[in-house]
Order: sequence, then structure tokens, then C-alpha cells
Amino acid sequence: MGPAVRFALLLVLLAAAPFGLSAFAVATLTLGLCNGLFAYGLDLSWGRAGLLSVGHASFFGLGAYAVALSQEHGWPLAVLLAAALAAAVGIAVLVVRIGLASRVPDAPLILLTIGVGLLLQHAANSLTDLTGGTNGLSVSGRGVVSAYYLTLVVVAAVVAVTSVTVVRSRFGARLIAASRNPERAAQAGIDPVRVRTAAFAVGAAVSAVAGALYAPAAGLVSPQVFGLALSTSVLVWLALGGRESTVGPFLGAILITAGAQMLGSTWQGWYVLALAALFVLVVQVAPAGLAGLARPWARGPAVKLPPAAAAPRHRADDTAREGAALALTGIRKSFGPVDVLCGVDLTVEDGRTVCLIGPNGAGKSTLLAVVAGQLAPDAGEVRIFGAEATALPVQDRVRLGVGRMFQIPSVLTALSPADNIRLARLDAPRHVELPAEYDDLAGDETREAGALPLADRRRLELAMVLAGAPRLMLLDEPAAGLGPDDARALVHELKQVSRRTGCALVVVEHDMAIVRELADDVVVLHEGQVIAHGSMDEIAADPAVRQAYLGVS
Amino acid sequence: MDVLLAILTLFGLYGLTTLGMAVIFAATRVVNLAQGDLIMVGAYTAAVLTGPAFGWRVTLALVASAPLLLLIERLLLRRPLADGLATMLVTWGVGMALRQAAELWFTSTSRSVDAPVGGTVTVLGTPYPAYRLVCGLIAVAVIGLVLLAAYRTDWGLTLRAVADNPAMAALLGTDPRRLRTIAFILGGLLAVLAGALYSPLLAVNPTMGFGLLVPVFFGLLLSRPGALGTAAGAALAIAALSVLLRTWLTDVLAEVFFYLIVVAVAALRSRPWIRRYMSWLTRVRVPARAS
Repeated sequence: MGPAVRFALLLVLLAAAPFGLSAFAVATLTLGLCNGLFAYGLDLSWGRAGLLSVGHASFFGLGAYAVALSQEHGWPLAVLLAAALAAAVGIAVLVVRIGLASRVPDAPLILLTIGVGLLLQHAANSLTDLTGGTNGLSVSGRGVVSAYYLTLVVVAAVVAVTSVTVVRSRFGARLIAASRNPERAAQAGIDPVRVRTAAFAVGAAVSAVAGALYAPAAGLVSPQVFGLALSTSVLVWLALGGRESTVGPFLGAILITAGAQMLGSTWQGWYVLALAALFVLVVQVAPAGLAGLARPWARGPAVKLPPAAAAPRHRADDTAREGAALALTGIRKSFGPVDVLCGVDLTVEDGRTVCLIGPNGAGKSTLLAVVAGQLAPDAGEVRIFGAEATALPVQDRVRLGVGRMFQIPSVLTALSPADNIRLARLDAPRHVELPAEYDDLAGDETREAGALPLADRRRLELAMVLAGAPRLMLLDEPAAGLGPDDARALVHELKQVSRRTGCALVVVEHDMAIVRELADDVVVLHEGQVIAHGSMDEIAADPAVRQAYLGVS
Repeated sequence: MDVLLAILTLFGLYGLTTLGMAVIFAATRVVNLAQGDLIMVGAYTAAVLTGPAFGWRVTLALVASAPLLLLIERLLLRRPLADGLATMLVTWGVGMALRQAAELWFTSTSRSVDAPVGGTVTVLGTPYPAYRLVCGLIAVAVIGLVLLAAYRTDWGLTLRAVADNPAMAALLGTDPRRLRTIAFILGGLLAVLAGALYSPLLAVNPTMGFGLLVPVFFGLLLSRPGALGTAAGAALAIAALSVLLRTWLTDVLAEVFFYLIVVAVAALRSRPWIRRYMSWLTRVRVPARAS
């Protein structure tokens, strides 16, 4: 039974609800659906984009006030709703951009989302002429049943549209990668910041729609809709229902809303206290919530890519191969008072394998990070296949043909190896058939990549890089941590790759046996400068190199 | 002059709480989102026990909340959770429970506490309410003591080591679990102390702590993990900003501007050149203080 069929069945069931339920129950269900949509919006932001918002009521309140203000002042509803959506998206983009600019986005995001909520609440409290101040505005709704159907139709439409475009699409696959391992996602040509920002903004807009539905259902909109209590409640609904699920947020919200409505006001305080305790418990014991209870019986890893990811749309490989694979001129990089790179000039011709050697602290890894785009040089120019790349972000260099392997293999640990490779193909310029020795990984749908042994994880990383059709591969100590047999197999494979694809390789390596085996050219880096460039034998005989390594002249 | 005194008083409140949060963050890498609600716990203890003298009430608040903090740490924060975010959410849940419990017992109407020291004193020709001054001075003294402990004692050295590299500190023989418990209790107690001490100056209600969370959190964000001195400095800057805005603008506008400045600073901090400049600043300052 596909997800579309399940969705339709559930919808029919919900559409039939007014025929069997009392008016009170229908009104409660309406409120539950509004709250469910709100939690669903939070799930797009917190669950799917991995960006916690503890002030999501800001967006909900914007939608609610749009409806209330339009009724109060007779302003056109469509204009106000559009303004509320635009404000929600604008605030969301601003908040996420600021948050993601820091390395650990959680703390700034929490602060900013709390701040935005408090700010809006203050505004609603103090603009008395406009908003009625602390008393709020009353909103007249329609009849119970027609309000229910209106809510149901809007909720179903929003969920259907966002599932198709955000969750089950190629975008959804990119989002899974970007929220779990931004570094590797960028290496697959995905812009992690843009993808996560977009998902968060959609979540904010969905929450605003939920607020607009809530206003007539609740009958009153007061500054409390921006408040802490509501922001906390929606966290509880979602945590209880289960993140990264479509049913979960609705389940959690409807159950808790129904409970609150049935208990009445006397026990409300105790109910909220119990929910707080439940929240702490769920976060600790069952982080996947109610929807996650069914998962242990499902086969394979907890996270799977949507089916759309299996059909990548390849962009045309239109960038012409011209010039050297890599041309560095005058690259300088300092960390504070330490000059790590002092004017590095280096040219790597297409198809060559260049090994970068040098004593510890020579600047090899820094140079590789500058080429890959993780570090910006203080001065100098990076050209990749003739294209000026000095200021390009990581993912744009990947699109020029750069592929990178890390010192510690970086894969998406929660996904299966097969999904990892699918992800690497998603934004590749063309389809690359992997050689048969990767079949065990490409066909492995059941294990999580995080459970693979180190050698296999490194093979998987290599397979992912190869699936992206690279023309210049950067490898930082690829044999580090591998036993002699695995290291030999890897070197053999790298030589095969170079011969088969004509890809240029830049390898940082300490093991001279591997260097001798692999390198067409050897470049020696010492104190931030290239002191020698030539074949292994030339390098071994070079007096400057002997001086640097052995201290003899 | 009275602006300076007001900054001193507010710095006491923000400084104690931010420092507590920074101690907890240094040892556990968790932002304690219940910190504001611990202020509320302290304030309610001082507000509800009307019998004993004020000094005893403050002491009682500290004594009573220590086991509570121990319980929270042992029961809820011990479990190794999947990520720091989950632990942060647990503290969020704890804060929510504390707020709700306070609302159940004491209702949501605000209470006021009588100041134990009345009247005004004249400082360099400016009259200022005596208790505000006393409060600020006690708080600054406590902040000084904690900083002294952090930079002059073995315990402080251990704390800074764990903040810098917990795995290495554990290999060198510190018990990170014990340190975490102690740090959580100490950090929490600083907030309780702030709440009890400042209860005569604040409207005591269940959500009072939440409004304080933003400036305190902001202070933590501006400081470097493990460097408690920077946390106190950030709290001072924020207190000054808040007081100055309030003297120039109406309360509501001041609050709005305060949040706008918070957002703007958070945004500007992420620009690379400013970050580089700030990292330079801290790098230059730190050895000078440590020596």
C-alpha cells in the first residue's frame, strides 16, 4: 500500500468524522487538525531540516493575527495572509542564515527564535489600537461542520503539496543529507545552507497557515499566540507524536488537544505538568515518539531516501576541459600570527597523479582545504580547469569536478550504503557506472553505513566520490588507519581510477612506499612553500628536500 | 551616577545567572534552558517563607534547591543522550515543569517581596535605594569569588580542562561525572541565589525567569566556553546596554531595541572578518589574565 493510498484512506475516514461525532468532538477535532498542521510545520523545520525552533509560535501567531486583523478592520484577507506568509518566510530565512553561520547552530537558533517570539508578543501587546492589546481580538467563525471541512481541506492540501515537493522529492533527499552531514552533502554538490533554509522557511509558512486556520476555530486571538506556552506545547506535540513522519505530528497534536479539551479547566494545570514530565521522558527514552514505535519492525536503517532520489536529473556537463586541472598561484594562508602557506604555486595537469609530501606542519592539509574550498586563502588565486574558483563555495567546486576524500571517512552514517551512493549520484553531471567490486555496497539496503568497518567505509566514500564523476580528486592520507593489505588494495584501486577515468589526483601521503607506487609527480611542501616538484627519483636526490627532511646538506 | 549604580545592580542579576550557565556549559556542554526558572525557584522561596529573616530565607533557598538540582542532574541529565540537543530539550522540559508547578501552587498572579533594607543611601551625591546597592555588591562579590575559584584553585583548573577537552581530561584522571554533578549544582545555585537575592526588586511570578533567559543566554553566546571571565564580561556589557536603553527610551521601545541589537550582534558575529577580529581579541586577552 503506497503512501498516496494510505493518505486517501485517512482522508476519507476524517471526512466521515462529522457523521458519527458530537458537535463538541468535531470542534475538538478541528482544533486538533490546526494544531497538527502547526506541529507538521515545526517538523519540517526541526525534524527534517534539523534546526530546532523554540519560538515557532511566532509564525503561527502571524497567520492567526492576519485573519483577526482582517476581520477587525475589514482589510482584505488575501493581502494580509500573503503579508503574514511573506513575514514568516522572511523571518525564518533571516534566523536560519544567522544561525547556520555559526559552527554549532543550536544555541543561536534557540536564542533567536525565543527573541523573535518575545518581540512579536511585545508588539501585539503594545500596538493597542491595531491589535486590541492584551485582550486580543475576537474572530467569528462559521458553523462547526463547515469550519471542520474547510480546515480539513486546507490541511490535506498543504500536507499533500509539501510531501510531494519537500519530503518525497529529490529536494527531500538533499535535505536528509544536508541536515545529517553538511560536509558530505556539499561534497555531493548540494548547498546545505540553502536546502536547510528553504525547508525551515516552508515549515514557517505552513505554521502560519495553521495559525490562520486556528483563529476562527478558537474564536479569539490574543498576544498569547506568540507566547512561550504555545511554542512549548508544539514541541511537546511533535516530540510525542514523532519527528520526521507525516502522521506523527498530527497524532501527537490531536491526542493532546483532545485530552486538554476533555479534562476541562480545573485539571488543566496538572495536565500541562504531566505533559512536561512526559516530554522529558519521551526525549530521553523514545526520541522517535509514537510514530517511531512502529519502526523497529521495519527492515533496514531508520532513515531512507525518498524513491525520487533513485532517478537523478543530470545537469549537462557543459564546462569545457581547458587548462590544467588545478592551477594555484601565490596562495597564502595565516592563522593568527602563524603563516601556514607562504605563496604556494602549483600546477597539476589533467590526468596526472600528484603526491604532496612534506614534514608535519608543512601546510599540506591546509593547502588541500584551500583547494577544496573549506578554507579561503588570504591571498592568491585558485583555478580549477581554467575556471576562477578562489571565492567559490565547496559545492560549486564540486560542480567543476572536484571530489574529496577526508582523513576520517565521511559518509551519511544513518543511511544504507546503497542510499549513500544514490545520494552521490543525485547531483552528478552524468551517470557513472561503478565497477563491479562496489556491487556489495551499491546493493546493500539493509545495513547502516555507520556500522561498516573502517576499510568498507573508506571504500564507500571512494564509491561516492567516483559516482559524482570527478575530474580532480583530493585525498588526505587515504591509507591512514588501514592495515597493510587494505592500504595496498586502496592504492591499487586509486591507480585503476586514474587509468580508467583520466581523473587527476592530488594525494597527501606520508608513506613513501605508497607515494612511489602511486605518484606521477611528487611535490614537496616545506614551511608553507613548494621546495621541489618532480619524479620520485628526482625528489629523492634533491638536496633541498634532504635538508628539509633529514637536516643534512 | 545613578545609571552606573543601576548597571551595577542589573549586572549582579545577569552576572550571577550567566556565570552559572557558563559553569554548567563548561562542564557539560549543555545550555541549561531551565536556568531562568531556577531564578524563579529562588525568588519564590524568598517570597513564600515570610517567617524567618531575609538572610535566612536566601540561605534556605540555596539549601533546599541543592538536593533538587542533584536529583535533576542524577535522574535526567546522566543518561548519555544521542546529541547535545536532546539534553538541551530535557532542560527545556524541566523548566516547563518548574513553571507549571509554580503556577499550580502559587497561581500566576505576581507577588512582591519586602526589601530587608529600606531607605536610600547617597553615593557620591546621588541618592539610590539601599537594597539595590546591597544586592549588587553581594552579587559582584559572589561573582568575584567564583571567578577566583575558577582561575586560582585546582577545581577551577579541572573545570577549564574539562571544558577544553573532556576526553583528555578524563584520561588525565579527573572524574568527569563527578565534576559535571558539582558544576550543575553550583551553576544552578548561582541562579537560585540570584533569584532569592533579587526577589524584592522583581515581580515574582511563574514566568519571571523566562524573560531573563534571553539576556543570560545572549551573554553565554558572546562568551567563550570555559572562559568564565568572558561570561561575566558579556553579562556586564548586556546589563549596561539594557540600562542605557531604558534610560533613553520607553520600556517597550527599550525592549524592542534590545532584541533588535541581540539579533544584529548575532548576525554580525557570523561575518568572518568580525569573527577573526574577535578571536584575536580573546587570544590577546586570555594569557594576560591567566598569568
